[in-house]
Amino acid sequence: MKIYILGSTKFVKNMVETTDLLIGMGLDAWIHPDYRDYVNTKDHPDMKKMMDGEQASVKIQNDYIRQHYDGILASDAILFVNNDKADFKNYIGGNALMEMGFAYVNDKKIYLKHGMPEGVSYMDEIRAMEPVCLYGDFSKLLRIE
Amino acid sequence: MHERSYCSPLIGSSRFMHSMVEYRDRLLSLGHEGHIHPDYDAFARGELQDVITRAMEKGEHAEVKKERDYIRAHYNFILNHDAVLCLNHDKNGVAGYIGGNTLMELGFAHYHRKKIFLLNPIPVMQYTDEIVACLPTVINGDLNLIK
Repeated sequence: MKIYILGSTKFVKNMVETTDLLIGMGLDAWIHPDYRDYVNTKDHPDMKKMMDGEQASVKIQNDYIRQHYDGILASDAILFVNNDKADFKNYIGGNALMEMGFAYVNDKKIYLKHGMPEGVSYMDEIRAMEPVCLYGDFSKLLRIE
Repeated sequence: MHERSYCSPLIGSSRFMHSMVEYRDRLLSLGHEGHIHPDYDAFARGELQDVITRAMEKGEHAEVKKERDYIRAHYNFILNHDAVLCLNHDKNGVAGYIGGNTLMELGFAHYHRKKIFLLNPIPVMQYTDEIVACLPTVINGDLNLIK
């Protein structure tokens, strides 16, 4: 089962760590190569732009919406690193919601690293797509394989 | 002369169902091939009221989406059209509201390189960046700009 790792850019470091952790467990996990660049490159210009609130321009310049859709199509499952963010527990952002939609309509399995998000306005959409919550226990993925 | 072969499924919050019927008919009168999900027509005719009641009053919106497979239905609908028109009316105190389901539909349309028209300006919401990144054209209520 090929697993594509996704999540809010705010969690990019943990997303790369999660990918490596899953690979270390023998799972076929992967992440968009730009995320590794962001983590490994000090003061990466795109990362700096995003942290400065220029998310839309970076998404457009790099065509990230389509790139992630292609990544989802090339995988059997997606796993969202949905850590807590500000006032939101188990955060799933707007971009992640779109990606969940891509996965859902293409019949990919959808996993959340933690539980269901709380406090976002699109809970009905997330519930309708029935993601599987791992509650931090990645060994469940080994049993699914 | 307006483009006659144009197809625009109308998307937006289900609370705008009557507006969807109205704008579909306006698109048709302008020579476009406007379409909406048949359930919206049924809702507007007073049918399937149990579905509306469950979704909007009994808190069973997620269950209704699953049972009627709305997410996939809208996705397939978008695939078969050239463009989408999003009816982003004001809602919940947000000018030009775009809900989560519609955000997903904008993403579907963007990936498949469909033209995206917003009836009203881009709203200021938690996911404004994602809406902007889908490169919509704002028509400010002027359907003649759909070409």
